[in-house]
Amino acid sequence: MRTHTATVLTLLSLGLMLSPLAAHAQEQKVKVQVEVVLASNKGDTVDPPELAQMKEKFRKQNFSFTSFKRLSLDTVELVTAKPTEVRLPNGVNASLKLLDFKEGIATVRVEIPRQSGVDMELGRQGAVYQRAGRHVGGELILVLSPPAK
Amino acid sequence: MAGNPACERFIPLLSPYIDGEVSPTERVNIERHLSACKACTGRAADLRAESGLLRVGLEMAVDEVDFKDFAQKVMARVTPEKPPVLERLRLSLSELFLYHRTAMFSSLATAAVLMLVAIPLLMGNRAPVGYAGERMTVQAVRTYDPAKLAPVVMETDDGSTIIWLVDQDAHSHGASPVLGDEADSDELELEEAPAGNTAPKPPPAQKEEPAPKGGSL
Amino acid sequence: MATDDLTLVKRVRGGDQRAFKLLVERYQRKVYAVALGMLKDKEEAMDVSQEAFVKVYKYLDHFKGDASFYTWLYRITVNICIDIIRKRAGAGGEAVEFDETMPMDVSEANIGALGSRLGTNPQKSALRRELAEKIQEALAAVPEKHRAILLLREVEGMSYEDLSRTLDIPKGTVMSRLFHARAKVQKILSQYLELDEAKSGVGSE
Repeated sequence: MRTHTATVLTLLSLGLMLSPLAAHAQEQKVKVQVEVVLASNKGDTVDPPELAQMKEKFRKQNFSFTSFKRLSLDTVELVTAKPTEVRLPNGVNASLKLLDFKEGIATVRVEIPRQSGVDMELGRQGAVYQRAGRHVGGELILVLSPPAK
Repeated sequence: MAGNPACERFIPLLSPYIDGEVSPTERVNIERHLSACKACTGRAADLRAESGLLRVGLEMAVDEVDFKDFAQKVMARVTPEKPPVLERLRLSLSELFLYHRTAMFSSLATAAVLMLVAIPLLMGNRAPVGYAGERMTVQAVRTYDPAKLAPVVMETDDGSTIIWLVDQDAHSHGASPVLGDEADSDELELEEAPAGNTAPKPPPAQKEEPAPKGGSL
Repeated sequence: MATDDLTLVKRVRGGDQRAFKLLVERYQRKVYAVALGMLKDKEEAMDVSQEAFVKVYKYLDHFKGDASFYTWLYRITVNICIDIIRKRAGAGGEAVEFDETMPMDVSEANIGALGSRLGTNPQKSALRRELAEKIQEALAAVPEKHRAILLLREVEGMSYEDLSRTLDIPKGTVMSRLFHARAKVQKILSQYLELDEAKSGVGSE
């Protein structure tokens, strides 16, 4: 199992900046797209239209929210040295930190006070939707995904 | 409307009467009363109207739906056994570790992919730094107060993850299938002052550890 | 006319999936109607309807055939709905609980108004859409147990005997629960009608 990865590591270390072996993660940085969405049952606005996909994903998991509104969209850079704070509309600060960086895969910790703390490995596909608390009669959802090109 | 005191006895009987569920003797008595009582005749008419209204109204709603594929969908659900959402609420710790397993398997596949990705990476960054992984994978989930909130982790079919939180007691503020009811949300906001984000009250006395250890993992 | 339920059930047990499809088709609309009346949300009702049949299929071996198939099917449907409602409303749901031993309220507003407005046998064509939607709201205002019994009675036309079996309550309770449920819904519907009339200016009668 690990042998495959070892072969790849050799290839990579031939000239790549990824240098996982050397990654003491001191100045390791990673970018991630952070989106704050307000999901509610007040009306059926889906704004922007791309959020229709998110609405569908949630519907399949038996959430019946009718409205999805993007409140913010940013690309933030995370480092291991200190956490990056993302202010949420409900006054709470979500804290994001780069935990680890191995074999080209970054692990990020997202903590939302009074809600949950999630550790995740970043990847090119998919997103992580984390409930971030109530706000103006709806639910705030923090969405982490790869940065847009 | 000052009722005929006799009505008191008959009023509750009007309901089973219009349903045809009274004994023959009772029926005779009721009809005798109705012939003499305009109010009760009106009440019986109201009951019939209401009954018909419910029936017809619901029929109209059902008419709007296309049941063409319904049976098919049922059969499709019958075969691959997807655990209903209510069962997911009982996700055990061991199941949460599934994510580690998934991560390992995906890194097996990723290893093969990395071989191909390695060359383009030399050229220009197809994948951003740190995104050598194939998909965003949740490793661990912790809650700040496991006595109050339990995490529910759901995987969508495109490999995304939804992390929700459910109240441990019957409040289920935030339970997934049900967060549709606006009226309830507002009600709950009053009760759940500590968690209420829009509450004007100052932050609760509830102490949260900065590095949550009280979590599920 | 058509094959009766119990025969179909036997066939399904014997491995005949087509027989199950027939059962589904036979009851899908009514199951959906009950779920919709209970939950108000169309998508949720659709999902619950399917789930009810899935559950029925899964537990078909547990069905003894001593009750009629459809009372068992509806019991499952109602229970799924009640579970959801309870999770939804938490304390809110329980607060709407109704004391069935309460002496009945004889003071109603506008006796005969509903009957004369709608006629004792309202037809689909005569019903305005908003009015039909009001029904769901009126239903949502009564406790789930009352909602359930009302729906089963109106949608399926269940006898008191069957209602008693499906809901596992004595016949006396069936009677009083229906009475109270109807009284409450009627009051709400009358209120809507008064507003409705006031808005449109005329009663359609």
